[in-house]
Amino acid sequence: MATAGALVTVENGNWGATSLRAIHAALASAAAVLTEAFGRLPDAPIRVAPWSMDPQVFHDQRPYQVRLSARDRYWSQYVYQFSHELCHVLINFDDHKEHKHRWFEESLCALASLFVLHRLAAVWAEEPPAGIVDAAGFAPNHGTYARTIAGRYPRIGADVRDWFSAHVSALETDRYERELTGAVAVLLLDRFRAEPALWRDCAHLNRWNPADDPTFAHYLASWTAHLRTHGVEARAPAVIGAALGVDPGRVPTRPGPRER
Amino acid sequence: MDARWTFYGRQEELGALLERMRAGRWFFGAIRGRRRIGKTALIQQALDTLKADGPDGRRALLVQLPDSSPADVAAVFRGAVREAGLDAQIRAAGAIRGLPDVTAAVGSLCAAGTVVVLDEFQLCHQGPLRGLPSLLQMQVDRLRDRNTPGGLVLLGSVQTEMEALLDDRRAPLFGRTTFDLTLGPWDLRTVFEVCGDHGAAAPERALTLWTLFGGVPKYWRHFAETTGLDAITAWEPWARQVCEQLFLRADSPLREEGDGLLGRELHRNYLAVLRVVAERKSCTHGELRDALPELTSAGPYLKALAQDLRLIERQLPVFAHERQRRARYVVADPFLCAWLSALQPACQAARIEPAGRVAERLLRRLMTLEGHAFERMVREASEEASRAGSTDFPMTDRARGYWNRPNRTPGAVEIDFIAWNDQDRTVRFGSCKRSADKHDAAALLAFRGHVDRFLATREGSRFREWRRELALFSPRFPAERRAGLQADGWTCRDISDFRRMSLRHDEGANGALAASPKVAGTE
Repeated sequence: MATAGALVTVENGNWGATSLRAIHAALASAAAVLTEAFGRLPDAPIRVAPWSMDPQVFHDQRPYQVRLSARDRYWSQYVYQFSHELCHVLINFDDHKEHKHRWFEESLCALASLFVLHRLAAVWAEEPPAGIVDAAGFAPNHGTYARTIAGRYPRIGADVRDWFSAHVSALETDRYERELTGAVAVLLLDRFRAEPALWRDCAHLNRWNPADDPTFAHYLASWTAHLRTHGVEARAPAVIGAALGVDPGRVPTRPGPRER
Repeated sequence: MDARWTFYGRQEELGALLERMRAGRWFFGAIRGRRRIGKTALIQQALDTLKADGPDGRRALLVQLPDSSPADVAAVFRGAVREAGLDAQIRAAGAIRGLPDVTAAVGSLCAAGTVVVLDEFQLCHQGPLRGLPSLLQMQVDRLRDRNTPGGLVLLGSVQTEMEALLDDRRAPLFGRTTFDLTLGPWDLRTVFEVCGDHGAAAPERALTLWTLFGGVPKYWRHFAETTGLDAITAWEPWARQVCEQLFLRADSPLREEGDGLLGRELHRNYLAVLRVVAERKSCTHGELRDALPELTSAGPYLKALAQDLRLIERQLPVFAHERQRRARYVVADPFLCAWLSALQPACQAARIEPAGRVAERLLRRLMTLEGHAFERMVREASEEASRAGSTDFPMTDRARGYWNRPNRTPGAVEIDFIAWNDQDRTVRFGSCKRSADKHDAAALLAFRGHVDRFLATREGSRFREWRRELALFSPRFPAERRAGLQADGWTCRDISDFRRMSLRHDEGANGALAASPKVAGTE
């Protein structure tokens, strides 16, 4: 069976002062953590190349084309950027490109980056990847990096429901409201770290058409219905709904979600 | 020092070099830069990095061309091939006797996927090796456009000679390189990183070392390999030890460095021109002509020293007179500046005086030099941080040139640093002092006066309506002093601020690199 690392290819380019093998080792270790959490591999190989703009995974390309701005031996930055883009792949970002709930995908991908960094702080210490000099010694930096990034986002206070009501419109208008999506990621981080199986539910995102969901509560309800249709317990929608003060059980009953 | 020496800086150049070398096509490249700037270290790091990519990492042959006969070059080449275990790639390696055999062997090695590096290639400009470029041309023309992973890289230090070999239209190798890198001194970000790794993180120490070494990697490595400095806590005895151990003792690694550098890099008249510029701190073309009447024209030498070698800097007056737009030249290279004005006399004196006593005098001279070096550091650090987008003052340009007396303005104007941002119409005026205490009430008043007089000039008038920021720069601001000045509306920046801005904290920690081997080369 193919491993996540085998599906990742590091393309030639100006990556700065490092070997392709070391970059691959860093990306493969991130991919291993995230694909294990999702319980599945990407459906196509992933080619990763450097560029100087914001990291991105392109739509409608197979193999997937990922571009990162990380350089040299900033391993945490590689992990942070690549985990985000890989999460887009694993939540089927290509299936439905235009809908108002894409802010949630951005939040999940920001969450994936933090989740993987925290996991790798332990994984690299215990089983340092070959090809990276002193990976075990570097391991704690992943945790520090994750905490630094998380510390930049505003904390959502006790009244999550009010916070969400106040900001959901901005999120739906611009899915790249990084402060807000980051705040949601930080809000969910401990729950996902405690229960990594929640990612398995995320592997079903975009398998129905989210454009049919008028509100985020409808979106969570559709996700729940989709999971149940496929015999999955549907833990994540409830956990996320509870965390954000959104109750998917209170949306008007509709026919089951249209499968894609 | 405890920390291991590693390959520092040059990420962009190394990345570009690796990209070319990994491309799977035969390449012919050149890496230029003055002695000690790290050309060989760069190519070695690139080759080591390729090896780390896996078992198909490149085989490589590094040959340092000797300044001698073709027969000796052949002997050196044979030895290098044998040492690298590459005999099998060459037919009759033992029969290499002259330059044609050497270049044929280079062709065979390249065709077999080996990277051949010829160091000190500037020696082929004249003398017994001048036939080598034509012979290499045949091999280059045969190999180019091949999908072979190998390549040929030429390293050369004397800029004028490398230009004659590669950039002159009549030169055999003209227009054939597939990449051409010119290495300059390290940027300040790298300097700060090295300071942090090797016991010189304190701002005063970083400034002293930058004043002495500029951004020349080899000198920093000598410092890093000097023992016993870590234990010295106070700046003055530490600086005295640095001077003694690196420059003034009989076995000091840099005792002959300045003379060696000048002698190798610069021929006759270049050296004379540089000495005059250094002696006078700054001088015009006319002053130079008076000082060196035997030169038919100083222009070409000044141009080469300024544009090609970047050892001197051409400065125009800030207040440019219509008819008197006279350029002045100053020594721009920090090491040469320190060498010519302080180190060389001290090294000479140390031959007949105790090194400790000479070091005392050198230290006093060094403090003056550090004042000038600090101004340069402020300018470079501000530009670097602005380029990297990690500054509190993103600038679109800054004032350059020397301060002459403006027209119709009472009193002189001299401001250490002026930078501005056209977009948000903000201008920062800066005053640099080697000690924060020197930013006293009288100095602050004088600084304000200079700014006011500048704004009253024609050149300064465009900033009158802009948002104005008055910045004070010192190597270190004690917290209390900084708080007091900032409360009065001054912006305070010190070396620690620049260090923080430059070290890309946003990107997290930089992982370790395997310790770099001592690079072979002539000392």
